[in-house]
Amino acid sequence: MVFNSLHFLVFFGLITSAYFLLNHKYRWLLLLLGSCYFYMAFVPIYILILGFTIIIDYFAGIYLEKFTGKSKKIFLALSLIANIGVLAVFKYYHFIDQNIGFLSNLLGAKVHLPAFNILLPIGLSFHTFQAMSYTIEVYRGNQKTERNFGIYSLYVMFYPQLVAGPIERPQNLLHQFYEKHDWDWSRVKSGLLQMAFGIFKKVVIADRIALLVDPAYGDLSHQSGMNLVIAAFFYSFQIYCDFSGYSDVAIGASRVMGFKLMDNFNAPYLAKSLPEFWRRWHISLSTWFKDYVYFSLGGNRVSIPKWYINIMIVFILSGIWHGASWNFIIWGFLHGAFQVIGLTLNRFFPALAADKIQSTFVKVVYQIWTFTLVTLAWVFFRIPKFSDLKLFFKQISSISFKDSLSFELNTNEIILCLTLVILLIFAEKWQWKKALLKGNYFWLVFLLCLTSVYFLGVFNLKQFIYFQF
Amino acid sequence: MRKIIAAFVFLGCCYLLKVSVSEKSMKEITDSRYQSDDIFSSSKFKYGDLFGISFLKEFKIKKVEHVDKPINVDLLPRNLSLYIICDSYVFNPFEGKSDYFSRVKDLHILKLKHLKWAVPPFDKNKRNVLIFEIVLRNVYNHMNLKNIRSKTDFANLSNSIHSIPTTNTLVKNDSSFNPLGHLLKLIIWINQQISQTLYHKNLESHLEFILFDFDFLLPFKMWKAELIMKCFNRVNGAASLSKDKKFLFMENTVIPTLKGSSTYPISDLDIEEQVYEINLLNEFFKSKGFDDVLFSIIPNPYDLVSANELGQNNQLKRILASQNLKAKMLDITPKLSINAKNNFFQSDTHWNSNGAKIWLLEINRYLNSLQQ
Repeated sequence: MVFNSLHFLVFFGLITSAYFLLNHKYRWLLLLLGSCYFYMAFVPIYILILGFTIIIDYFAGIYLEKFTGKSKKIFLALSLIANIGVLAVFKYYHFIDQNIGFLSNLLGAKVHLPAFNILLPIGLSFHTFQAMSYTIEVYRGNQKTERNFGIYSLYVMFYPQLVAGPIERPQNLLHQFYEKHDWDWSRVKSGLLQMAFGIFKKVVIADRIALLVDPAYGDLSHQSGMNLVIAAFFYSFQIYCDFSGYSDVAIGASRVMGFKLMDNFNAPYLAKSLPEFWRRWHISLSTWFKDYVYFSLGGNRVSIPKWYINIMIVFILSGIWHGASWNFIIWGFLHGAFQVIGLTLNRFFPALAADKIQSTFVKVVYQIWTFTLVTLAWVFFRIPKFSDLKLFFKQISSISFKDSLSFELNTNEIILCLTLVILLIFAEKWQWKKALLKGNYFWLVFLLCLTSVYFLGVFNLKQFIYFQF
Repeated sequence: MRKIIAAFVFLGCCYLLKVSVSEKSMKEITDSRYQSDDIFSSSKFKYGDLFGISFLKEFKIKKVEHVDKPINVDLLPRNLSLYIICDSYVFNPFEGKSDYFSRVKDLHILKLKHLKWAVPPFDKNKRNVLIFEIVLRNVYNHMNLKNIRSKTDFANLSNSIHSIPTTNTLVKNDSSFNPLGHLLKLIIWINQQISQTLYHKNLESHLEFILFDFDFLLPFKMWKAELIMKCFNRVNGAASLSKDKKFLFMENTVIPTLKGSSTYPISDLDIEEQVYEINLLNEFFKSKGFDDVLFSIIPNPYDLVSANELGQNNQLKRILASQNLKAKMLDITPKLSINAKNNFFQSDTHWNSNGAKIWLLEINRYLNSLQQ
């Protein structure tokens, strides 16, 4: 079930109304059943995979509390192996097979894993990571074991963030299922408004930009260099509006019922450096890697070469998390490499470090530069096939200002998209959203949002980009 | 008060979900909305099905599908039993009109879209004729033995059933027992059952119909269509505008990336596969006891109205020209091409009464030509 569908609208109305009608005692059950229904709308039987990881991690949590020392470590390892194993089988099997085939071919042999054709369960990386954060936190003693199997299942399956995050932490979410959330009109208004913003970003901005980007990336050989540069520029905004739009709906839908999920975006394209970008983009994933991988490797409290290696490991893992393909790994590698280069330059020219800059003009230059690097990396993320990269850069290398431009969007649509993108950036810079989410002018803003969605939206039930992860 | 509103929303949403996954309930709702003529009636097909997608006000027409009964149709004795397997091109104007067909005593129309057909048994005292009509865009999906067999096995048609053709490659017989394979099949079956019960494949369009398909909402839809057209030069939904902006086509008959489109590149091998399926169907129907079988593929309106506008794939022409084609085909393209714009609705995927009449005249000519 996608958020930009009537099915979700009806589902949301049903669950939310039932939530406030029910006694607090039974609400968790309603949310759990609703979440199962929500997930099963994609491929019903895949709920068994989810069930498998839930059972493993539930019991791992119990045994982690019971045991100490080596046994405790074993249970953590078992839980992590089970979760990563599920990811490896369902997400990376084909990729591993391809690479084994390629390497064995180089050695003159033909080795392949047994055939296993299965669709990737939707949102697998998200709920697996959320489940892992529970066992790690229990292991570290930051979270008490959850004994109620239903509540634990709900923690993994809570429908608003089940398939594309934010990836929650048990300390933030689990206790909220026990708290009673009364009807609070100002909170409901704020939640509804955030949902409307999310849908606006998705169907008015992201899905219209997709009409330009998808054909360009889908037919690289017939695109001029300038066409591809413009498509790459717009893709940065498509993916942002698509993903942050999803997060807005997830956070808003939860807030209506009284749940507070963590923020996932904070004006990422206003970042003046890549480290800052990662503090603002997909916050729930970047903090997950920071907390559970980067710090475990020693973070920056190690020698400088080791620190740089840690950074590279984290970003390459982040690339692998996104998808089973070399282009995602290169995307992660690039982000890591950009950061390492940036940190090295900061060591030699500390006055030029982004956080030391005072001049507004230089800040803007830094923002544009960061945006350019991020956009360049997105090319690797968006390219349909790894083998297409060569063609993409070949077309780009012949770029000329005389290139003829031909897009599936007409000039007015491009102007509309640009205007909305600029408005979005300013809205974030001046934190209009926060002010509006307080509920002032609710009806005016809410109805304006819905009217724009109706008249300017693209309704093709296009899936959210991050569903594939 | 708050609880009452919540209960109201809850019941409303439950009703919407229940109705939208039930074929029966949806049929009741659609039938009642299609038949009524008030502000709560449906505007989906009333003014042309492509207007019902695009909502461009220039294309709002009052659709009349009535075809007059042809003259000279009662001259010969009525001794044929005619079975027509067809899509809406023939179903809508000719359902239940056996007297429109020359020499036809009994008419049985089986709609391709329906999941199961109730086929009455043969009357052995009559000549049993089958006409298979289909529009070109649906050939890929519907004109194959697997699809026809899934709707009925025609077992009750005749006692003198010949053996069913075994040449088709669609069904693989695997006699070896494979427990893992059986488990996989069971899982797939369970998956399908859950999907069908809880999430109907057309759930989204059903909800859209229930919530928004009212005549009184038409002005809003037309405003939106006009805005999108004027500002973005874009037609709303799955419709496509002809170059002269006087005709609407179904988008999937125009776009070169979609199978069934008149511009989709088709290889000679694809054409031969289609010919193979047609031959297979022909063999199948004959094996079931039909005395005569005729195939009639209707060209996509885009092929005739916008001829030579974009590189057409000449799919029909190539099927008819195939040397392997063994089935009898009726090609009405030349007749429909004359004044083509007068034979199709400008905002509907179907032909108008002129187009239907041309087809009927050709069919009657064929029926008259059959052995007495």
